[in-house]
Amino acid sequence: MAANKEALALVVDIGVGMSQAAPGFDTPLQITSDILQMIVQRKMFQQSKDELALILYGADDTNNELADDDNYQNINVTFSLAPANWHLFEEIQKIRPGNSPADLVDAVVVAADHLRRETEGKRGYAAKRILLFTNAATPFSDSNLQIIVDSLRRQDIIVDAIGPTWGQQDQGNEDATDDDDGHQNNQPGSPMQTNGHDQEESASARPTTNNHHQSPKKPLTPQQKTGIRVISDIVNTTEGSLFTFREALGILSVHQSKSVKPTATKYVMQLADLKLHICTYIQVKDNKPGIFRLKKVYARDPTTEIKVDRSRYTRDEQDEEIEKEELTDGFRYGTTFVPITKETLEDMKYQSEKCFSIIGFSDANMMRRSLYLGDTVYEVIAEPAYEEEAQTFTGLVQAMYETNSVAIVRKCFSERSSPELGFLRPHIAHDHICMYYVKLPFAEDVRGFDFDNLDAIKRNQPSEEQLKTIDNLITTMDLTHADRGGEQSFQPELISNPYIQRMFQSIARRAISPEEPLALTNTVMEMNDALIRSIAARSKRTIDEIHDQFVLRDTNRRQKITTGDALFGSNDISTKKARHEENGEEAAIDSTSFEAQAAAKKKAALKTVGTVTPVEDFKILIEQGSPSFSDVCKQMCTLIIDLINNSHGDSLFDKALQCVQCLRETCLAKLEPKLFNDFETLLKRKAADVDGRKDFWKKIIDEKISLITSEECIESNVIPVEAKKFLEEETANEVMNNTSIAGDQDENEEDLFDLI
Amino acid sequence: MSLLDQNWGGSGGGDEDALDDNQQGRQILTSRDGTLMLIECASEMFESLANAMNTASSNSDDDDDRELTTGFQVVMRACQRFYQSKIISNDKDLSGIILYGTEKNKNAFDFNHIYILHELAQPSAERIIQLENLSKKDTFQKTYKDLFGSTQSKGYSLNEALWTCSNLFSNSPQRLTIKRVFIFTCNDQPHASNLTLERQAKQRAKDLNDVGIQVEVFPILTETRTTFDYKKFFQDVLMLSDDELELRNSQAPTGRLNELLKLVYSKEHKKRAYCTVPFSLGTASDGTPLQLSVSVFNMVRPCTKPSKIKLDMKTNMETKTVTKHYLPETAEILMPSDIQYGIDVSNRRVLFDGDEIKAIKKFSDPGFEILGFKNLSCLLPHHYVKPGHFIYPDEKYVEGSACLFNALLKKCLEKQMFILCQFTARRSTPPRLVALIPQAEEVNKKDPSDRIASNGFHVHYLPYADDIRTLPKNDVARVPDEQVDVFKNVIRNLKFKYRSDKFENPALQTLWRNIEAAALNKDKPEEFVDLTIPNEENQNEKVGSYITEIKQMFFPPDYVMGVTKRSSTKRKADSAATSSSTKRSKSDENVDVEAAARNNLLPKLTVPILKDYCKEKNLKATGTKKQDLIDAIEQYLSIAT
Repeated sequence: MAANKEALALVVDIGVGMSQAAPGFDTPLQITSDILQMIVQRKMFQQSKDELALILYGADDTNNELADDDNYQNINVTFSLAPANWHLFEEIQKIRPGNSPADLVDAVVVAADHLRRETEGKRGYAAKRILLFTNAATPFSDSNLQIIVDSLRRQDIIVDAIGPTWGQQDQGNEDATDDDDGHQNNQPGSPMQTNGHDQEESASARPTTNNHHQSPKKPLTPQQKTGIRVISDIVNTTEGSLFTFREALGILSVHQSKSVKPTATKYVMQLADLKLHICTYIQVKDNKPGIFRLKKVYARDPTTEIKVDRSRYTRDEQDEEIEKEELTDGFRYGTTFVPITKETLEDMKYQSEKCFSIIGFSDANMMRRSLYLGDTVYEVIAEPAYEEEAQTFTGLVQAMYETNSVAIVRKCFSERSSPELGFLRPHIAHDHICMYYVKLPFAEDVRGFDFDNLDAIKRNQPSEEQLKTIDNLITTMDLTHADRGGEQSFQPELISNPYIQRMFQSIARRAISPEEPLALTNTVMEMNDALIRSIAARSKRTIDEIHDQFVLRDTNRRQKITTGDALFGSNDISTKKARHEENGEEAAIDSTSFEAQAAAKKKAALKTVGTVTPVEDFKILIEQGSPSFSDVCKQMCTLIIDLINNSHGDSLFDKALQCVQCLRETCLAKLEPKLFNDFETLLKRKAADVDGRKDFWKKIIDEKISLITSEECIESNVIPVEAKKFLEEETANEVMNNTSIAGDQDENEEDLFDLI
Repeated sequence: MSLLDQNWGGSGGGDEDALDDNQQGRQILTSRDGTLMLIECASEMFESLANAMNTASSNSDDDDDRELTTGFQVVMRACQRFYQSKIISNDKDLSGIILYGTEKNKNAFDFNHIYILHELAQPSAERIIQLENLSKKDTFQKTYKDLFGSTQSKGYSLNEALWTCSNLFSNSPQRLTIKRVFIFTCNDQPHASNLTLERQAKQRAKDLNDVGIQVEVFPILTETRTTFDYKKFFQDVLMLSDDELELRNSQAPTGRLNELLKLVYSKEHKKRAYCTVPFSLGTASDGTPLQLSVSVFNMVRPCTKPSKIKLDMKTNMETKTVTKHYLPETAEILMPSDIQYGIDVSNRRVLFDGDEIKAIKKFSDPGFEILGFKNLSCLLPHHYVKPGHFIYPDEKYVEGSACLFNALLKKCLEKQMFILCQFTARRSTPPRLVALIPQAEEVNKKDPSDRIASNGFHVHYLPYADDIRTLPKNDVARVPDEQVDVFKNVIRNLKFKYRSDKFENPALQTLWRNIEAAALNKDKPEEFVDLTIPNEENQNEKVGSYITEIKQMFFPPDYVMGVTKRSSTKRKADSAATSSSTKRSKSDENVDVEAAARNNLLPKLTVPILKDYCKEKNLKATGTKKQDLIDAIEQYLSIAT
């Protein structure tokens, strides 16, 4: 842990040669910029401590410590060594081709010097690297090359170079860059990888989501040939690597979450009289990157995190809030509530000690996968510090392995946790020996569901012909050796979780261009497109045979749900898109800075009346004149009803009332009385509903908020008497209650019949 | 099959109903059972039990059970146990108790001699305590007298008693999936002298049957009533065929009652699909999707512990939580539309709407999509991430599913292959790769009616590359064969046949029993034997000699096993040589955290020391992990990066 980060200088050639490409193809500089952005994003997403510097050469400006009037010109340190951040990201986006040639070797010297200055006297750097992005098209002087290379080696600086090609086609191998992933990508500690953890990358694992078009190969200029030779020389002597653009993009296109350092949980394993020190490590566990944890923030001001209040209320009509001190723990026993004090609660808990005890051994074949429980597979090894015990452990693993046995274990993490049942399965490879621990169910966890034998019903028995077709299907879709090298396809070790990929992609997209809708790609199918297509092609005939031989009749019972789907489920994205189209005019704003992003959001958000300051929002929106008056009013009406319905007691009534009043005034001013009158009529009708908020209607009456009359507004067709009566008349519901009590309200009774 | 089992005695019709009917991934409302105990209180019920019955009640060692001398007591105890077991197995089920032949009456129709002791409701502690008083030797007579009057009467009508039952069911506020009446009686011909009453009772029983109420009889044999002939009367009440009648009359009358008297601490699981989804094999050339329909079941899931609830101290009543989102500054209450979701990446907050988060998680509609087949050997021991499911074809949505499913199953079994699928369980759940492992039906050879495994596919979740961690290789010297053989002896002698129903959960069982004891005011909870604790003595007896041999092979004579070495361990000593003495002073109060920080040794310090330091300097760590504390300290000392 002492040395846990890398210092990385990104040295970029922005000379003329880098911005030349055949029409319709990306220039080397564009591709370089993409690769750099991916590197920086990855470092940010992984919350990496690695530090990066950005050095451009061939720049029109000069900015470096070594520069004087004659030397080290046109080399620009645009970002000094620091952990990756958005500022660096923006600097990369700003890279433009330069017109002033600079010397490649000089740039490397500036980078090495920068790394030395910035890391001097600080600790924790595991490695120092220079990443050189160039197509070697600019001439340079190699006079002091040997001295410089020696100095790099002395400082332990590794130089990697990334470019369109490193000249492999000179050997006449046209497609060399496509297929040579073997030797270079797998180098541990290569700069694009998570530090310390080498990933097994192979061609099939790499989704090719990038759609870069690189220029068709052009013959190299003599200058490039020399350049490549010199660069290869530097790279080789500093033990760095050469990457082509294609390779780099391939490696970077798979997002990786922050790597987790393996940590051991120690136990003493007990078997009869044997007590052995062991370590357990998490081997497999659903990876939920911490960076995906969502914070709830206020839509109008995303810097504000929303607080959550969970208070307790009585479960009766009173709905009273109860203070924490007035609460006690308890359990439900049938319909009886059993209060329990904190002390008794402790006593009631099962007491156990930390343990890892072998109860006995069982045949490995008895351990059906369907019984596995828990969310983790642990690797169990002996604690190396206890040599004798470790040997004993090894002996046990070997014996279990040879007798095909597993050990049933009672495991308890601490005195405070419940014991669990699990089993140990021995695992021996040529260079590895361990056991795997998986949790097993208790008797209570097993649900003894029974299912009828499928052969019990005649029509469920497939014919010989049908079975033969299925046999064919299995043969044509057999993935066991379907990979190019005869390896199995879809090996779990090589398939990335599409959700993690998509989430990272969405975060990146939203961070860079906040106004754009998300592109939701990255399904398992897309990521393994080629393979799935080839299988589909092979199995096509068999699928048709199955279609002919098996009668499958859809009963259409699911139909209803699918329509519901269309209504509620899948239109999410389309509305979002629509909303963004509306916001189109704002897309022009420089959306990369956070402030701009926040401001844009704020403005965008002010297309709707919010619940916090509805009256203000409403007024602003009316003033803006967009969306249309009736739309804004409609929003206001919906909001008022929301407020009423969501109000706990009458807590939101005042706000709702203000809204009603504001709506009334506005409708009056805008000569749109009908809008308000219709709404008030609706409110009254709602109050009559069984679960309507009659109490709110009462407030309206108390405040004497009447319909807009013809006296107030010429457009209204409600005469003042009607308006008065409207408020005085009771809601239908009340009428119903009253008729049973009072007999003298004959007129109302008639109204009631009308309403019914 | 247990009497607690909802499907008991039924035609199994409840099964179909319980299946997730039309929802994808959503569960239907809970279905409840209703059980009414209809208990005769004739004077014979208060006689001593017949010998045949005594064995029934005293099969338990429980002292309490020995004091049950009369039929009435035994029945009350059975009801009590039924309630107690129901609370654990399914406390949403309703039950009630009706007595007939009592002096007093209490029912909606003012029928004579019919007394509703418990209306149809969920069981409670009060009811159980009352039943306990009605079964205990010291208290049952007095309690009985106080409640129902002193004398017994023959002037009841079974017709009216059954009518009362039927009425309670039809007035039940909850929809009941299964309705049952248990009649406890010592009288095999209650209306021998009154043909009208007998005819009415039989007709009523038939009516009950017509509306789906199942009736069952538990005969009680006493000193004077030593036989129970179903043919006399109850054949017609229970609608028994002649074969069934013979079977009944030949059975010991105590069997079913014994089952009721057993106290069972186990949760009942209703067979209900987790979801019913399409299983897609591909698309035919004419564009028709090739889809069958399968129901997904959870066969193994951790049984939940009774959850702690918060009660109002004043009333001991349940409380509810109201969650409000508010702005910290103004305490303004917010609506969902005011909330956005933020992710902080390197000091920039990236924002999403709730809908967008849902859209990111949605990949495809629920269902299985086939990717191919693989040999079962491709499944490695560590390929596991979370508990799986079981699938069985569903004919309701797609007719013909069972046949195709069956063909796939047969061929996968034959060729030892599993089906690799992408599985989306719910609309907004990202997909997972799953292995569908074929499972043939397995039946206990000794007892063909005992099905060990049903046929279908197990759905086994596979990890993604992101889930598998890279761990250092552990390559140690192998132990020579002759030494391994000693271990084999140990294994052989400690081998047993693992069965998933063998071990009960000690923590859960203890909690259940403790809650029960607290609710029923018992001094001590029912006893529980924890089988997960290995019997060391027993183990040593079986393998002691081999263990001694192993010890001699690997350990020096004075070696003490299992004792954790202190800081003088070799490994630590090695590193300590270079890195000063910070560790040795771990217990020391004055660990020089700052010095350690300067030397990049913070990770070597323990969490409590780091915490103390943070507290002392008033540092706020962003989390509770060790690295968070280290970060905070490094930042404070500006060694930070």
